[in-house]
Amino acid sequence: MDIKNTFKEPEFDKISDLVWEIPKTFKKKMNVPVRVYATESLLKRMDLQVFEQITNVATLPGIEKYAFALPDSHAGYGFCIGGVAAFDINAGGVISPGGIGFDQNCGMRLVATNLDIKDVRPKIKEITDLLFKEVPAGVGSMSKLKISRDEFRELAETGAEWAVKKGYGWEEDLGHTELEGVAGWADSSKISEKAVSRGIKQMGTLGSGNHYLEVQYIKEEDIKDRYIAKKWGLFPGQVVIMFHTGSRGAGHQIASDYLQLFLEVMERKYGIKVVDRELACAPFQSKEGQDYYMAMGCGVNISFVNRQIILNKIRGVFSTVLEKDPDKLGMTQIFDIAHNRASLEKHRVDGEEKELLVHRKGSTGSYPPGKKEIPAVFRKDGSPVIVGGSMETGSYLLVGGSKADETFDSTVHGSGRTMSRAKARGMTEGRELFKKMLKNGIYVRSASWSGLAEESGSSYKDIDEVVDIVDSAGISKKVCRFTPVSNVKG
Amino acid sequence: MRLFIMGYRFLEDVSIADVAFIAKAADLQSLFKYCSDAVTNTMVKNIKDIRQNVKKKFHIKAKDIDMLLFMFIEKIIYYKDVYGLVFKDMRSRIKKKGNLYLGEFEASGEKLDGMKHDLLVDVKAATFHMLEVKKSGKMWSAMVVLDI
Repeated sequence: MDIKNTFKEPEFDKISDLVWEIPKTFKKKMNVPVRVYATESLLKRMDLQVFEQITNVATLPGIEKYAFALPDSHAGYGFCIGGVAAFDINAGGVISPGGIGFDQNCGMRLVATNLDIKDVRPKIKEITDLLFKEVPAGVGSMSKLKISRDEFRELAETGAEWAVKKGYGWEEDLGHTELEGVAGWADSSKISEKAVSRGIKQMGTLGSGNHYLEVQYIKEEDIKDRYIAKKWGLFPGQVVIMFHTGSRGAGHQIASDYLQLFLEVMERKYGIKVVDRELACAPFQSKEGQDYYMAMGCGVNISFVNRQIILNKIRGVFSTVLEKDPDKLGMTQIFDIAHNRASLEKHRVDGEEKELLVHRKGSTGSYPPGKKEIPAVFRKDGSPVIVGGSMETGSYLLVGGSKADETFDSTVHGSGRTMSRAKARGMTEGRELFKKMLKNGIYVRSASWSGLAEESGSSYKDIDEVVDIVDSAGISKKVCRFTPVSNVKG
Repeated sequence: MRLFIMGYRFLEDVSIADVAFIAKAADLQSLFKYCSDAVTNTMVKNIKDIRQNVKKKFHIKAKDIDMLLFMFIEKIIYYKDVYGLVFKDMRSRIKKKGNLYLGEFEASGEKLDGMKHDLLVDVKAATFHMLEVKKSGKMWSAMVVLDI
């Protein structure tokens, strides 16, 4: 069965060297055209499933202006990953769990140190081994933390604030977190007991797949915006820690529960038909839509708590190995940002201000200076955007660009996969990859050799190529690039 | 691509960030068993390494066969997240009663153990993307995309 060949290749209208349009006429029921951000070369290498999926998104009710596929787009389920769609909540616009991703508020956290790479490299094995021990990772990983069901419901409503109050972090971490660490609209009465059961033993765990925890450093030549880098506390040679994880089983259960509910009511109550059941949705203003929005808020908070607890463990590990308090090591949080979330935002569409629910699935908010969505400490500069690359290549910190409004203030989240996990396993052997990376100065600890092989650098697009596109398009601008020195993989 | 008559096969070019598979069987009971194996095999390289010292029974009621499979996979994931269990064997009785599909399942397996099981990647959810259970001639088949 060659499913890939069943997808029709669209004809693109060239809007600019970096923007390509699939017109509404490509598929019946498309309400808006699709815009793809890519160079011509990258466009040709993109998986046809991306265009199949993003044109399906363009059929959803209430979608405004365009459905977007960003340069890191790759095939997902329902929505492509790297997809963006905004819905007018006052004109029947919908909310769709599949457009947010099962892992609500899956995202990135970046932590500074005042350490230089030359001082850390001799201890990197010790640091990484202890990180691997302290932050559970891999299939079925569970936390040692004891959290009651009532506490779990409380943290689902109060997010990172809960974690900081419990001692898992510093008060200032909150100001350096998107939404200041709390989705205030969350209501834990909207999540199921199953979601609580799945999440309760997973707070402070990394998970598996493409989730990771990485120690990185900044090369002198990789600082691209010296003014902002300095202002945000970044300097050449500096060691930073970046990690990627989300709302774990609880978030997935929330999405699953509402997907099933939406399939039940979507057509019967609201007359909505979708071309892929994974796009199941409900009008945002409906009871079901509102319930899911409040439940998604819980997923967002659960994820903030997960990352907050992990940050606390990271500080503990560095402190133990380097025998200094974390504050003496300058371990401040730079930023924490989601790349799977729906966000209520005001945008101008054809000159008219509208209240939109912007779905970003595998896409990061990239707000230009002054936007209210940006935490106060960054508002003058634009929002920090953390872009995770593959464990072999590197990652980026960007800042919201002046042209971000073209994509409803959305940008890339990573480099994007180029091949399936099975194919990657067939091409790379985990132990060999480990040796190769070690030779290249990257020490890895992984719960699984096969899992490691699945995440090889060759399984991903070139992060520099992807970031160059959004930088040249003015959606987000480069601040600096990070080079990995060690990686903990689930 | 190698053809297969019964069992399951992972698809390399579908939903590349996640995992897709097709299962085929002569009856629904075997089809669900193969789907269970495929989910487990996504997480554990060698299913034969899993011992059968824990049994779990569960019932599922669904309005169509696709939904029954979705809820069945969701249940396997639930046992993994809540009890750390993976299953080697899955017995089932599936019947249609009126407009509903009823499934009775008995799973046996053991707790995940990183020292003993060669672990691959976590399955986080079943999805409805391309989900299809159908009968063609005498054979049942299922197409599934798992969220990773």
